[in-house]
Amino acid sequence: MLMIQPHYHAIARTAQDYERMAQSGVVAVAEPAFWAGFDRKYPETFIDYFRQISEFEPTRAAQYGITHYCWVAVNPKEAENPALSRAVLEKMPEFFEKPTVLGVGETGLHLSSQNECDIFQEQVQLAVDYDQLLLIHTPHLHDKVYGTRKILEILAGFSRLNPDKVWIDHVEEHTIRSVRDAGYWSGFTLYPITKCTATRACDMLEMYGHERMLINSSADWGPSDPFTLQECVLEFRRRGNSLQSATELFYNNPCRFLGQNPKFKFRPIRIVEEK
Amino acid sequence: MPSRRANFLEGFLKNERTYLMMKSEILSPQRVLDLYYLDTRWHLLEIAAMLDRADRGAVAHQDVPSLETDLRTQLLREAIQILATPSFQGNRTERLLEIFSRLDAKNQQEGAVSC
Repeated sequence: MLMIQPHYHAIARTAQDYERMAQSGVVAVAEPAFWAGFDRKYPETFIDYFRQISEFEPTRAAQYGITHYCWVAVNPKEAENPALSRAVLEKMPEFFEKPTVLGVGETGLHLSSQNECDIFQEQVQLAVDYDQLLLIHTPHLHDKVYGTRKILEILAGFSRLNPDKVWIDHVEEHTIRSVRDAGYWSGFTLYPITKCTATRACDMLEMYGHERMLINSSADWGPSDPFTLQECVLEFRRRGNSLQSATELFYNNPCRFLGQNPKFKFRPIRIVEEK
Repeated sequence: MPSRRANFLEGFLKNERTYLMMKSEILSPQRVLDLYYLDTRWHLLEIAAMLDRADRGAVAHQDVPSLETDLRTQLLREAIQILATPSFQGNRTERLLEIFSRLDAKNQQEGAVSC
């Protein structure tokens, strides 16, 4: 079955991931810019990071027949340094011109401090001004409900923001309803222990439907596993869902969301039996 | 130029198709039990074993403070009580996440890191 990994931090992973993903049907990955595990001191460090994910990573993925896309942003943790963040934001429009950059992400909130809110707001404005897709990180553990509510409040202040172009990530049972009610895309992030699991993601799909849902594995420098995506396909299929339904979720939905940026070349597919 | 009716029909059919494809199959309660009984049994045994391990630790280390005052013990007890309630209107997971958020908030203040 063909799959797309919509949220994959290749910079933290080895080539073996690419090989195994290709073997299991993954044809494209999208890499959001994220926290490196320590706070960077210089805007130039971010710029080189953006170059790495927009110039080098596509070549590494291509060796396995996988198309690599990316996003650029200042993540919420480093938004605590507004001077550095603003220096990076100034440079981001140059990256929007690159052939594989899909939008602004992952921005969002972590502790929901004033600095984080200000920098998040400025990045939303940047996405609106440059007509970019927007990928938003919600707090993982600490006060996820409050952080999600705050994000929704901030987004509601942007009259020119198109909800079709906004993906709010890492939803769980206590935050998904508010994101869906507001009309944005929701993302599940499947981790081996924390956050969401394949079975819980399938439960939420049963409760809330498949529309505007994106499912991503966990692939970063922490305890994570890119194959939680395939685990979720298996869980979804063993509950009796058809191959076409699985394709809708794990391939077509990423195409529908990411394909709003014309640089994303994959399009929804339909499985038809030969007569 | 397609007529308004043609546009309407095209939109309707597209939505209809989307609607048909956008629903999960729902398993029967019997099938849920068949599929997940062993997994759930395993998870419950792990919980029981962890609580027994803590009890043995308390006997072996009587000089250390009791776990009774640890917030995590209280949260686990609250969670287990919710699991033991036969009918919970299908939102047990949400309730547990709300309970554990109290500890997550404490951890965050103490500087735990994640991606």
